[in-house]
Formats: sequence, structure tokens, C-alpha cells
Amino acid sequence: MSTSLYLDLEWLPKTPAEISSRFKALRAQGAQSGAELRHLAGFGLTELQLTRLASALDKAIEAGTDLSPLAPLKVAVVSNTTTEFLNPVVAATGLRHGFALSVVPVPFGQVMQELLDPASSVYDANPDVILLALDHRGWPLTAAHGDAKEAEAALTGSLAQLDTIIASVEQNSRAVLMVQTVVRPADTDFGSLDLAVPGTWRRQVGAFNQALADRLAGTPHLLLDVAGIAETIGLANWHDPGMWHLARVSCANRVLPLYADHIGRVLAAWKGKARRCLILDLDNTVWSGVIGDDGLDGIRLAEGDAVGEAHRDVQDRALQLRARGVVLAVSSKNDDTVARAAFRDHPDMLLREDHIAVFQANWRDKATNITAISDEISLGLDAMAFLDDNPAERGLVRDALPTVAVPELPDDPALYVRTLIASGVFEATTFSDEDRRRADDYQSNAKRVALQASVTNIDDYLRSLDMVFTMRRFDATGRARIAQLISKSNQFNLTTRRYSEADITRMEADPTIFGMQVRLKDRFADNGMISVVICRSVGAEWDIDTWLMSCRVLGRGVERAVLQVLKDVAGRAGIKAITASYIPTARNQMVATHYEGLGFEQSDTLPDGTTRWRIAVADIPEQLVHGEVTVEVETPGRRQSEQEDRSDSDEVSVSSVI
Amino acid sequence: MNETQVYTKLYDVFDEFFGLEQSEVVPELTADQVDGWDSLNHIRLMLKIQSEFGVKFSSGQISSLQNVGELANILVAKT
Repeated sequence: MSTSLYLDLEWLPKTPAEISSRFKALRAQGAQSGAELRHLAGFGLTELQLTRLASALDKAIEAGTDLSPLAPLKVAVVSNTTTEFLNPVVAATGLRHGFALSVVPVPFGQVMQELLDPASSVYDANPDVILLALDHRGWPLTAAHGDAKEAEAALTGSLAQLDTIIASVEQNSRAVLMVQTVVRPADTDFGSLDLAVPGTWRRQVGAFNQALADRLAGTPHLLLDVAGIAETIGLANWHDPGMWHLARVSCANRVLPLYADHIGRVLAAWKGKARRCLILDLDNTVWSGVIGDDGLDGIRLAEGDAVGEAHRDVQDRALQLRARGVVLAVSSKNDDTVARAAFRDHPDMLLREDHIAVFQANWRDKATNITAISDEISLGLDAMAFLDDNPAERGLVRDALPTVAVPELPDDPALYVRTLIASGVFEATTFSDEDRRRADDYQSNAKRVALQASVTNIDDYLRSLDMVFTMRRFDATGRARIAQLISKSNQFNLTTRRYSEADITRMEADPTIFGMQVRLKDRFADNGMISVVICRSVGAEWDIDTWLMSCRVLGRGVERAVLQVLKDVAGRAGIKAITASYIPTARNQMVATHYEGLGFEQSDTLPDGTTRWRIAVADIPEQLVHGEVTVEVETPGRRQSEQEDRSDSDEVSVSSVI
Repeated sequence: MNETQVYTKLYDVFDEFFGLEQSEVVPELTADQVDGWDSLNHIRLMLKIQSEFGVKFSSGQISSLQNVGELANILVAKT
């Protein structure tokens, strides 16, 4: 387990490679809007990048640029150490939390003078917040080792100094104080014995931090637990003795982005901008597997199964957050009854329907669903956090609803909870009985709410995905995955016919069968093989024996790309019409109107409910496909001629038929 | 790394930091000739170079560097 999750703010999207040119442009032209600056701050920027962003922000504030909806905020950082590295990082990080933050420069090391003198530069600047950023050298905490009386006196003296500062700030300013806890030095006095001997840093700092937290409780002032951050990433990572000697800096520059993000979180929570609703995806987030395909018995979330337990932890944490007052909701691409069945009938589920305020399981895009959830519970989009394992869903929501917090998630579900918590989206500055009751106040009845018009320009989003579809005939390389998809897919599966790997091998050599495997790459991921189609020749017609797709890529227009290729390949093979069946099962209602939507005419309904469909190849309209389609199929029965005629062969690019 | 490789990499860093042209990054260049190369940016610059080159300077090296040539020599020796 690595500390990079924290130090590199890995819950934020990765910084794009072109960021330095964005910064150069900013330096040349200045920032145009608050939204632009906030967008840039949304990436996991380094100290240097944040420093650059801060100078753009400074210039924008100086130039009087309208930065709304960012809230202006003035912060003075008072410290016994050098804060010149920290200040710009705090200012830029403030953007991420919704502030146009300016940092008041305070002379180095003048803590008491600045805070006790009513005419000091700090008070003169009239800040909204004064951050008291003292390290262990900034409080009179030292005492002779083993001298319990002196240790106690040092502690009392430090707290008296704190009281003096609080009183003076309250008297001389309207500012709220944010006081940070003390990070103890990485280097011990004795070793294990430190915890037992009065006067050691370990004991003094521990006692001081606890007393500090107690002192601030119930006051309007804010606690910043820097000691907790340092513990999480390690004292050895926090302290950099070289930097102390070089520049009197109290922590390594590498930790500044994290340090500043915690300051931003506390400020945001203080201003009521913390998240109050957690929207959960279901498949592969709350449990392992796809319930629509794997079934109630197929999803994994049991104790004793490492993967299952990781997802169960997500549920457990969601319940803990609920107990803290965070409202829970669900947004899942699923059939409503199928998804609810898990909440009702799965013995290992911790989450139940009555924990969920709004339950949106449908096939519409998630941005539209999240907007509906926000309307229903009357909390703004900026109060929502959305947890989803699927990077494309996260990208869509981030794109369409930039104020929703969408933490990036690592591949390993064991780290989902850690990442969500590390993101700090549920930071709080107070905790009351009212919070404890809040989740219940939102009548958690798993309500299903009607959707309004789509909030997303899906076409724009799909275009931005840089999708590449690759269509190939069945081959040895794809065989195992083809058989797996055929045996597992239940939802987007028109006929639910099962074939073994041996069956697939036979189909590869059968000239009357056209089997096609579809792969999809996009800017987020290589999704691998996501769709399979099998056509059987019947005279001059093709009958679609099998058409299935992974629900993970639903709503991307895969079926349109597939139909376009079927039209082209069938046309070249001299096929006049395509027929197809929809065989209803308990799980595949979502594709009941699949053929109708693609322009097929219904030709028959069989006694078992199967519907039969037909379309003339010439009547298949040109399909709107967002992305590039690469076709690597040989037209059945025309192998020979294709090799001779290059213009009619292998790599037909149907790129961007928009 | 040889001297040429070190300078090639240094050009990028100096461009990013101070917007310097390649021709301006010469061994004789010192901090007081460059706009913005103050003591804070010197430390930022050294931290950046450490991570770009995967090396670690001592605080003594950071505080006593005389010019770009000396920096390049240390980098050639360390990489």
C-alpha cells in the first residue's frame, strides 16, 4: 500500500499532459472565468502546478475578473515557519473547493506580535480566516524529560497562549481562527519509552492536540488536524530536515498539495459546501458482478470472499456515512426489479431499500438520474458525491455536472473505501444530534423518481470519448472471450442462446455463418470485447441468431456501429434482407424494442412470445456512429475476390459517420 | 547521462520555470541574471530538478550552487 493515493491526490482525475500549455496560455491571456480556474484545480496538480495556477488566480483577482460562482475568501496564514511555499498552494487549492482565495502575506515568525497588536498587518488586512499554522517549535511545549511538573506547566502555558490568541483575534477581528494540531517530530527521544516519560515530544504533542481540540469544540473556530494527515502519510514523509535548514519550512514541499486540500475541505465544510448525499452505482461498486447477467446468486459480496468483502466494505461505509447524516441514493444502469431484488433478497447485503432515499435503476444516462435525485431530495448538485467503478460513467457525470464530486477509483475494489474517504468529500466541522437524525428525515423509502429531459448532450459526450470500434470475424484469439460473453450475458441478449467454445470453433470454419466480435476502446479504457453477433445464411438472407452486448457500454451507440457494419458486409455479400428474433426471458426486457429502434419491421409473434423481425438490407439507414469503426472482416463467400480487389477489402474505415 | 543529455533536460525545466530560451541556458548563467530566480524559486527549481532527474541534492549543494554549469556537473556525476 502506498502513500501516493494521498500525496498525489489520486481521487482527482489525472492531470492532462497538455496542462503546461494551458498554464502558458493563462499566463499570456489571463483567466477568463472562475469556472475555468476551478476546472484546472480539479486535477491532481503538483505543488509547482498549483503555484502556477495561484499566480493566474492572483492576476485575475487583481484585474477584477468576475470569478463567480467562486466565493471570495481572504485567509491570513500566521506561522513560526516559512509559509511562502504553502500560501500559493492554499490559494490554488481553494479553487477546487469553490473559493477565489487570496492569502494575506504575514511576516515570518511574528506570531504573537501579529496576533496581539490590534494595528498589525494581519488585522489591517481584515481576513475572513486566520490560519494559525504553528509547528512543534511554535508552542512553548518543551520540558525536561522525566519532569512531570515541568511538562504539565509547559502544556498549561501553551494552552494559555492559545487562549490569549483566541481572545485577541475575537477582539480585534471578525475572522474565524483555524488552528492546526501539532505534528510531532519524526525522531524519537528515547524510542518506545517516549510514551511513558513526561516531557517527551510524543507525550507533550499528544496531550496538547487533545486539549486544543477540546478547547475549540463549541466555539466558532475551526480545527485542522495536520497531525492526523502526517500520521496517515507518515512522519518521515511529512518532515524534511533539509528543507527546515534551507528555508525554515516545517514540512516537505511534496506534502503541500495534500496539506492545502485539507485546509480547503475544512473551509468548504465550514461554508456548508461539504457533500451531503452519496449516490452509489451498484454493479461492481456495491457488489462484485453484474446482477442482470450474473443473477442474484452470481453477485459477490460475501464475507470470506476477498473481492466480495471489498464491496461489502463499500456498503458498510455507506451505512456509517448515513449514520453521520449523509443521505444515500442509487444510480445504476439496471432493470429496477432486478436491482431491487438484491436489496430485498440477498442475505449478504448490508444495504436495504429503507436506507436509500432515491433508487434510480434504469437505462438512462446517469447525469439525468443524478439531477432527478438532486431535485427529489432538494439538495443542490454541489452537495452530491457519486461513486462508480466505471470510468466512462464518471467522465460523463463530471462533464455534464461539474459540481458533483466524482472521486476517481483505483482498479482494486479493496481500495474503494480508502479512496472515497481520502477524497474528503464528507468533511465536517461540526457533528450534532440533528446530523444523526438527518438521513431518516429524508424518508428513505427507495423512491423512484421520474426523469426529466436529458441534461446531457449525449452526442457531444460520445464524440469526446474518442471511441474506436473494432469489428472482427470469429477467430482463435477471440474464441474464449466470445464463449464467455455468450454464456454470461443475460440482459442485452436478444436470444440468450448459449454456445460452447467448441461450438464457436466450428462456427469459425462454417461458410454459412458470419460471426462478428466487437471491441471498443475509448479515452478512458480499452474495454476489450463487448459485443458478439452471429448471423446464419438462409438463402439470400441472413438470420441474426445471436446479438449480445456487455451492459457496461450501454448508451454508447455500439448497436448502431454494429448495424452499420452488418449492412456493409451483408450488402457486399449480396444478402438482400436480414431477419431476427427477440426471445423474451426474465432478464432481457431491456432489448424488447431493440429491433424496432433500429428500423426493423415486426413480421410475426410466436406462441412463446418470441417476436420476429425483418429489414431489407437496402432499407437499413446509414447509422450515426460517434467514433471510428475499423472493420477487419472478410465477406463470407467472397474471400477470393476480396484479396484481388483492394478497394473492397479488409480495412474499411467508416470513421465518424456524423 | 552526459553533459548534452543533462542540458537538454535542463532546457525544459528552465523554460517551464523562467521562460528561458535554449540559448540562454549556458554554464555561466547565475540566479541574479534571471528574472524570477529568487531564493524561493531556487528551492522549487532544485526540488523539480531532483524529481526530473531522479537524484537527491544535499542542502549544502542546494544552498551553495554558483551557476548552471556547476549544477550540470553535479547532475552528470549523479546520473
